[in-house]
Amino acid sequence: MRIRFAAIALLAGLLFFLSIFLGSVYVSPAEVWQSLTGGEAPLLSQKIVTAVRLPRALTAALGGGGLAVAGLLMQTLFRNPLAGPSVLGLSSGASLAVAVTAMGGTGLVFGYYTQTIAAVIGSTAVLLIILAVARRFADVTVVLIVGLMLSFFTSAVVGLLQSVADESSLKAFVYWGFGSFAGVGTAQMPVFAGPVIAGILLSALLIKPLNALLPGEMHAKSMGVNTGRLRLAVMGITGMVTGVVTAFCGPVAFIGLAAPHFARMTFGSVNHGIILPASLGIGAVLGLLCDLIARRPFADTGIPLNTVCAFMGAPVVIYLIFAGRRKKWLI
Amino acid sequence: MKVLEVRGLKTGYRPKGGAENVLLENFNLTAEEGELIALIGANGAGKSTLLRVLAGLQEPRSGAAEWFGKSLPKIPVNQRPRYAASLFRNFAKADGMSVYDLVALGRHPYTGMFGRLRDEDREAVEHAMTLTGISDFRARQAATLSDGEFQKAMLAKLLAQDAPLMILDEPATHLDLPAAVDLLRLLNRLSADHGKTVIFSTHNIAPVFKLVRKIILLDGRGNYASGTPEQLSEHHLMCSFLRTDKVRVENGNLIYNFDNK
Repeated sequence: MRIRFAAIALLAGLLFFLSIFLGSVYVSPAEVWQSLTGGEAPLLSQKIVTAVRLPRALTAALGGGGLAVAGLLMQTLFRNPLAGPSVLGLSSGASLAVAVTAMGGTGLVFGYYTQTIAAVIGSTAVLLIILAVARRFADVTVVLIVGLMLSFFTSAVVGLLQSVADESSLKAFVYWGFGSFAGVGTAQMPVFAGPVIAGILLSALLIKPLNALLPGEMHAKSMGVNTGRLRLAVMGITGMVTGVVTAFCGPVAFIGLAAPHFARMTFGSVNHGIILPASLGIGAVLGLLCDLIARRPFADTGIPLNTVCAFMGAPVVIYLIFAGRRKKWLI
Repeated sequence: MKVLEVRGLKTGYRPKGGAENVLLENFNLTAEEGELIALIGANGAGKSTLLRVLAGLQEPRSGAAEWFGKSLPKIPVNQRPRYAASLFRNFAKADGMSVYDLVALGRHPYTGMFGRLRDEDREAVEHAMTLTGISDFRARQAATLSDGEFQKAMLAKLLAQDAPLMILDEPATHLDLPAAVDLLRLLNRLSADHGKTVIFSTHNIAPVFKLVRKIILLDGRGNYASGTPEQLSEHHLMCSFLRTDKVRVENGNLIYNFDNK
């Protein structure tokens, strides 16, 4: 087990450094190193490394890890291998809000901050609806279905807005929807990293109650778990992490869904004491890897992050679920 | 010591807009340390409801249960697993968990914030697996167990929890007859040798009449009878439960005529 954790950490570290050392502009390894350690390096190189690549790598690692943790919490809570941050409709809520600001003719100046604030408001609004439903209905499947329907509904409204939008705002919205880990600069980093790290740390407090939930809700109750409060905690953490990541990076697909499956497969366990940190690490690896591929450091232009995520994610999720059903390590 | 006490308990339900349906009324029970109590009755007679109320997992219509002289609402929910371990049937099969992990869940009340097992926890898990005869399955995935084996694993989890009060809803479900009798012997041993107070429900009444000294029979219409097998055999509720006109106990064997009506 230690070896596998070490391997994940090593891989994450390697990808982290790769994404700092590689890029469309060539910066020599020595200059990168000097920029990181505060040594003498040309100003341009220093700027590229500390203001562009470092925040981007941090965002990819934190965003991927945060989404993975959110996905794991939701898969356990909903007892559903297909639950993920995007399934509850949180990213759709964010998308709708961004669509309204971008294309709804609201008269708002379309800019970076409007978009971010709108996304947070959108995912929080969906979260509130979900919480209200979760309070009324004890059955988690109901909540999951409502989340799914909400995302259908929001994409219908988004489609309507797209059909009437002018070309430039449509383009801006589509770009946001591509997803990117490049949107968090040094200035925004605390606002991004703070809630994500807080969510990850808080989820560590849920390890025991989540384990008690594995043999069913009745079992959790008999072990003294306040299941209502646990549900609120999971929703709160999931909503916060997904909302913030979606706001800054767009609706990133598949990482939150796939990473927990990878974690279960790698460790052959569903114990959250193991797969929570494992999902975090694997999520960071996936985030960094997808970002690295999306940037295509040896080419002039990148490809959309979500294209990479879906290309890698969709077949992997199908494989994981088939294999998991066979080997019984799936939820 | 009084481990469990209830006075004037009422259970039942009221369908929306319908009349109240009383399952059990004026129910009194005192369970001492080391007592083994069997709960019997027809399907739908309210055995599980009563057990859930006793386990603090459901509110009664009126009355309240006391554990160790303390009224249940006054015992914080997260402290209850140290007092009472309960096993109910509507659990999921814990996909992905090894048998060992499943049994180890019973140690939750004693482990720290992240649930890490210490040596004494591991000993308790081993002991519980030995008692239930599942040590050989430890590495198997719980989801691949047969229903009966899974039932034993859940029972081992309950034993690992090591609470003084044990509440089990039909623990012999899915067990073959010899295994069901073994289970009854195990419960007997837990109460007699280890001082556990054990309350369980079952449909296997023949071995219960032979091996258990205190039986409670629910009729599902508010009434109950309680006592030794001999006392119960003379109670009219026993005849109506078995749909016969005469029940007797001879050398611990329950004898009745079942094609009477």
